Amino acid sequence: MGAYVRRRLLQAALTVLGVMLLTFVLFRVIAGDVSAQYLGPRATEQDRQRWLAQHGLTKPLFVDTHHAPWSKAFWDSQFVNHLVDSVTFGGRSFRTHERLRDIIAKRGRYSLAISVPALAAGWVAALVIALVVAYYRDTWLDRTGVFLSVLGMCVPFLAYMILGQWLVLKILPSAAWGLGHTTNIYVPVTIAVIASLGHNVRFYRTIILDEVRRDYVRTARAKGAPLSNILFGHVLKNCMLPILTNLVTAVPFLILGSLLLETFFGIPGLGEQMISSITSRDVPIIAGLTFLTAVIYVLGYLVTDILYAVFDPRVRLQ
Amino acid sequence: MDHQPTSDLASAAAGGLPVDSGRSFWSDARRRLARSPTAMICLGVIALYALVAVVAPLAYADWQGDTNYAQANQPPSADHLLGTDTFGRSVLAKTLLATKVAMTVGLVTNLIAIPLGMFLGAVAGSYGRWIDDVIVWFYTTLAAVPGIIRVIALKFAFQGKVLFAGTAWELDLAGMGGVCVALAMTYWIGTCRLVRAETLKLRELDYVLAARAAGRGRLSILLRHILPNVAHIGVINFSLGFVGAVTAEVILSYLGLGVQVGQPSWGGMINAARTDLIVGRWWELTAAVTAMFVLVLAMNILGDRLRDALDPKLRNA
Amino acid sequence: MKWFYIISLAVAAAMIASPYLLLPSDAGGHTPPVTVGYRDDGSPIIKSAPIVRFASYRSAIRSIDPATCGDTSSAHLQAHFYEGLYAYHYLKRPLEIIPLLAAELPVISRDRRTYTIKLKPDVRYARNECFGLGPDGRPNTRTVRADDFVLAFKRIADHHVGADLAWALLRGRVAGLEAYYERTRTYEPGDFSRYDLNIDGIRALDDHTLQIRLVEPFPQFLQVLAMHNVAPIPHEMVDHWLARNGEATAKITDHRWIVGTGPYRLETFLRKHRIVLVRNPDFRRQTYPAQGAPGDAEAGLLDDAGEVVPFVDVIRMDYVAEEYARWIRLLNRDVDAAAIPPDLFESVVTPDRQLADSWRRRHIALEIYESPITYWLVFNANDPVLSASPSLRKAICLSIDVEGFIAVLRNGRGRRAVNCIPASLRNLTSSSYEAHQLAGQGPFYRYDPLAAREMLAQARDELAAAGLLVGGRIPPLKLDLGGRGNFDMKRGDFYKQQFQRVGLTLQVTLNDWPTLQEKAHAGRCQIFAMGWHADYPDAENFLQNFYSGNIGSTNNSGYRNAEYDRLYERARVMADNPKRTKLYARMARIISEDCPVMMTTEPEAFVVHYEWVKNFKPHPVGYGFAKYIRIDVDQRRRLGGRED
Repeated sequence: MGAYVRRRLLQAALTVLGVMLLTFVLFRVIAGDVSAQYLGPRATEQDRQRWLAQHGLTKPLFVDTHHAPWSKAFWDSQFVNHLVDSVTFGGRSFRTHERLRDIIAKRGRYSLAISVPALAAGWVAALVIALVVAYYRDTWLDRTGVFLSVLGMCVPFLAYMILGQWLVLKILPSAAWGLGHTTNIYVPVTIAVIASLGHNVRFYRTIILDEVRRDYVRTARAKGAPLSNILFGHVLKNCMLPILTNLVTAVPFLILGSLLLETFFGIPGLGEQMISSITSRDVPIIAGLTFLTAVIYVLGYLVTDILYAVFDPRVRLQ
Repeated sequence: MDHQPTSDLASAAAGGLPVDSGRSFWSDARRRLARSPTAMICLGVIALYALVAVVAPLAYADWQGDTNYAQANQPPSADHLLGTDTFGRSVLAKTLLATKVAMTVGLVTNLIAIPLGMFLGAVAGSYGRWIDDVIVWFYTTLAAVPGIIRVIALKFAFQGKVLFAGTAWELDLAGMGGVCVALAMTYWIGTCRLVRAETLKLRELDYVLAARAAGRGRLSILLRHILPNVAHIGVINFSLGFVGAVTAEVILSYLGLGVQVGQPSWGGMINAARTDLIVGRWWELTAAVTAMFVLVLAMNILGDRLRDALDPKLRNA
Repeated sequence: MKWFYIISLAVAAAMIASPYLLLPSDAGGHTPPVTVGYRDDGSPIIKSAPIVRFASYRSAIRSIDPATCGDTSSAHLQAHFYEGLYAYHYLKRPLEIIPLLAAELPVISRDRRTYTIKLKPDVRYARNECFGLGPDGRPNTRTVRADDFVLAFKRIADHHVGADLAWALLRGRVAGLEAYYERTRTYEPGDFSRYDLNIDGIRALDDHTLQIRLVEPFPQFLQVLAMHNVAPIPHEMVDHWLARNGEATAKITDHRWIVGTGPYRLETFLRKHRIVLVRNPDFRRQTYPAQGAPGDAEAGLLDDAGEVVPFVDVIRMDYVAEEYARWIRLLNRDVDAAAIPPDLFESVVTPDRQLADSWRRRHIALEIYESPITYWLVFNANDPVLSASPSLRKAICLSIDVEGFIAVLRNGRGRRAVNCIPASLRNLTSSSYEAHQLAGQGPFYRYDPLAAREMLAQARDELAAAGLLVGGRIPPLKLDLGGRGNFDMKRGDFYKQQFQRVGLTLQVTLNDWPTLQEKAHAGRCQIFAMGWHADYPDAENFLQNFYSGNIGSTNNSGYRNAEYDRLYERARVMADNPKRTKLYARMARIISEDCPVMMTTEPEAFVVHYEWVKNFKPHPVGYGFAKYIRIDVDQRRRLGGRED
């Protein structure tokens, strides 16, 4: 068990390092010179150089070979600074010079306010529906359920958003945009839940039915136990693991809180920050937020794998 | 249900002569597929879309300039079955023309992503050791960044860049080309993962070991034995990736990062229709959503049936 | 097992209720009491139920520094707290300039090159800690002095501040400004000793007298001084806030560093979220004008004559990006005024430009006004294809159905621009309007696709001679637009249609606004869409966009025409007289015949507001009139509007 955990930790660390390298290459190297966005059309070459120097973009990419390897200046390169900034979330926005930490502290709550309820409500709703549908499997209820789920999966997310907002506008116009009241947040939350229902119900139903088709269930039924007892007593418990791991892998999206919902409904969360940073080429923030989600993702997978190892001995022995 | 790569077994042992060994894997799968009426219907629908994608631009070549300001924003009527848009052009024509974008994006993206994923996955699986580690590390890293962000970031980094400028292969990354490349660069990962897992299993099978023992190089084993036997994963993922690409294009259009201005696309229509619905103009939005919905549904169902026909174990992947 | 279910359900319920924990309960919030003045002993006079005006804004404010203010949304905000020497009379039309921080109109020397301006002696800045703290711990203030204006000019000419518009208007006009600019280049941004250098042309004769010497006569100088870009800057602000700032920036970027004399203070500045302006308790005594334009008295615009302004204590502006969302806020009475979204236009305004009855019943009033704005498509003068073929440019001008554009994309709000001097100067400066009329309809600024096709045949010959045809046809053309929204996509689609109808191919690229400006400045666009809002109501402000001396600043087409330049240099030093008007008309005709740009539209603005908003008269070029707006709080309360 220990060896397994150690191995996974090492892999996770390597991945995190890899993400730092990726964000560096993608956003600093490929995205190129973004000074134009911030300098205005009449900037001279001198202004550009000064701006670049001010933001640390004229430093050598990886190591400064003009100095000795043991001096601090050797390591004062763009890549090293990027590493440090990533880990401490200290990158400064080109636009407002705020640190990423502060932005996260200010805006994280709004993203969480959408994603956390959406995750929980979506999970409960999908599970309940999947259980009902699985209980009545092969009846018309089941078939309708599956049919609706498949349909639900195929409707584009944007359509849910637009339709949802239109409905709200008809019923309760003041809730349609922005955060006039705290309850307004439940509009995008509901839309997120409904949009995810199709896919989740189908997924959970498959897992539950897989479990239900196992021998022990057949035995229990043959012995006369009612299906509902079996469902709640055994099947659900055994299904929990894949369901929970599915849930855990959705955690990274908690923080970015569905970019689309935030931009659409005018919620000032991190997702909206991401979009506006991309539009204004605010590279440190883009890189920092990407890194944040990646780290959470990796952690999520790590937790999942360890959970699996704890509950399923077969995994440990791999 | 394990599949039996029968034909290759015979040829490996016999040193090259193909032997007709009865029902091969692919014909078996084809038969199973044909037996499912829903799969056939879906296939038909997709073929219809593909036909429309090719024919519509020819039939409606002048659609762009065929404006009629007096007839702008009319609801569906006898003249215009799906109403007219802001400039008085037929929404029906627009929807049909937009099929081209969807089909192209879906096709091109996956034509890049699937072979790439398959090749890298097979390489990772069969060569093993450090090559495997590097490739796994690479795609795990890439996968750690959420999909939307990846695509948006790539598309944005592409702004204004033109690949191979001035040559016959010039690809302006600002429009559809960029969309396809950005999407492809994120969709190869799923295929790669699955192919790698499958390759790891195949590697241990008797006939492959036999081929190794007989002295065949790893590359040739990869090409002749591994790839044909993971092809079914590619096919399944093609259909799923198609759906993903079409959906992603809609989101990119919503964010203003989609195809060129003026080119009809469902994503563009949905994006433009955001405020339209509020004033009661429902036809453009409905047309685009329905067109997309039907295609995505057909592809999803087909993908399901393909999976059942080719390898039901992949259901929970 | 049961516990597991109970716990997980409890956890889920907690997660679902989490927004109540996470979100600040003040998602809008009460307006706290406001200090409206100070008693003689220094204690504040507090108003516990302030009068609040509610508004939405849609673009992130780019600048809170008067020197760098160059766009309308920044100007609109800044004018609440910064004031210049002069301003426009709120009500009078044609426009009249009145003293604001100056005591009277300037004394101008006979050679028209020296302006001597006396300042009002008792204008105080809003209290700020840069002036030090008083014995009771509260920040001090002081009166405005002439060298504060000198510092303002220095900042505009400071290379490190990067003033765009103000610099373009003043450089080469005020003596010594260019030399000063060059000298500031040799200083580090954080080295503010450069503000100790002298400028020849600007001197403070004493604490309350300013003297400015011009290089040559500049008839529009008074109008430039009516812009608040030259708001006084106390050196204490630089010493306390800028010099100590670790970033070594010369610009004002934090709202605490704003030291202004205006009627409001910038209390909260969350760029893309909320802006709150609060009454400046140190504002001098100013009253509502007693005179106006004909018709103002009948409209009730003189009812508050002589009353002390500002009437409103707090202005709350929330950032709302979506146009329709702003409209909904108006319908919910969350804001007091809004612009009409184009999609709804027909249901709000009748074809004869009146407000539909259902809206009038909701106690909403309509204002239609035009500002001197013109939109045009710029042809890059350095582009090989466009410069080789004047007929191509003319053909393009003939092939764009501007009337259709206005009808479909602007709901008929606006008119076609027939030459480069906008007709909207009509009620503002009569001589400029005369120039517009004399110049007349440009021969190519009309819709004639047949003539366009004929021109294209000529264009093809011209391009063939220059060897620029591609496969025997005119190469595809590229248009860059400055925006990514719905409207810009429709605009791009529209232009594509127009080009296609005459057989040309057009590729449209959408950029965000800063990118477009940069591309245009770097000369990387072939055709791009721009607009120009008059900084002052003189045709010269539009004509200077084509002067070759302004290439690199306001002339972004790169147009060079020796004859035009000659005429411009003559006209720019002439006072307002018929000869100058004729020169203006000649210049406009040159542009109409040469087509370096394609004139498109002069827009009209339609704004609706609730009837409890009084004294609302949109001003075509000036800013800073928020102080005259009054809210009838009782009426608002009665009609179900917001309190705070």
